[in-house]
Amino acid sequence: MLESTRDVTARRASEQRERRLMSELTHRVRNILAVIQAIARHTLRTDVPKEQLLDRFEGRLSALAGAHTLLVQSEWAGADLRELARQQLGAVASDTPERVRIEGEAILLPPDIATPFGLVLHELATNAAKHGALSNSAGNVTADWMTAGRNNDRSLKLNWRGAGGPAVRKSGAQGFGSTLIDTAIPGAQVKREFFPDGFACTIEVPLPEGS
Amino acid sequence: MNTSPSSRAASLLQGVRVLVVEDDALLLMELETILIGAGAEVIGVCRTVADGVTAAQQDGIAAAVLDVRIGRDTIAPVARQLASRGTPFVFYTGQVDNDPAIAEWRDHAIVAKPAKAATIVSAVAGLLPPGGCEPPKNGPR
Repeated sequence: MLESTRDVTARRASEQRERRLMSELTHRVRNILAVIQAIARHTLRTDVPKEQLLDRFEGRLSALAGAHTLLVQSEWAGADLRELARQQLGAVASDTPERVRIEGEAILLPPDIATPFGLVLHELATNAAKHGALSNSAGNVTADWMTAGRNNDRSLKLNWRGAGGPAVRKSGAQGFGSTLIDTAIPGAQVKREFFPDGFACTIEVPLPEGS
Repeated sequence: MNTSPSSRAASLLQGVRVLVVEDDALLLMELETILIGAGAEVIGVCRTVADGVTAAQQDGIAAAVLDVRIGRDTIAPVARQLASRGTPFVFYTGQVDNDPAIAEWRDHAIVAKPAKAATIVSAVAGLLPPGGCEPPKNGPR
């Protein structure tokens, strides 16, 4: 069989594309494996009872997987913040959905922000369920957000607020969860505050154009 | 008490001043913890190329650990800065096969993500001049 020059060119182009995709895939897979490894190591180092370790780890793994699912559904364009928030809070507060309020405009978080944002929302929700406003029978949490600016100077500001929970106190040593909340989202300014009836957190993050 | 390999690892990088550039916060925290656990002094943790280039200009960095893809950028400017000052570095990357971003440094050590803590520590230790952990006193400036 003879291949025409055009066939050969097309075949080469498609082989090249395949190689590029494989290389990109390898990079992503190895990176995500390293992230899972880091989560495992950090989780194992934390000072929680042994029987809770697996639960913590699996929660974080699910958070990662959830964000990934949204990215795949969008063909890696980004994750809608409302869907991400519903998913991450829903996973933790599935028994008490009426005590969780999520409100904000539709906004597409780019992939490099969406995954850590998902992990941060997971930590916030887990903390609320363990020690905060979702740990008693009366409290509630609100996550709302808005954007400011336009074009290449847009930013997102998300407010997290727990209310009606038990008195919260800043714990002494900063744990992995808190460090994760403070630093995981690239470029974000994060403020955590402890009020008598609940914990509050604001996250401000610059958005690339077209989010 | 435990005096076997773990305590040896704990001193392998005793007092060694290390710079780390990695855009993922979790991996950065992890690298920092691993290096400090091996006795290193982590003198900079950078998440952007711009911060990395600035940090790389400091005197007395003994070694650096560099991720290759930093957001939408590559680590090349940081690696060049370090190379021009004679500071040794190792790449820690998920891109193991001939990444064009680091083609200039084909002979440099690459540690593939994810790596065991001991692998990262010994890769950094392997960058140091034999017989001591002190940064070179009269290296190129």
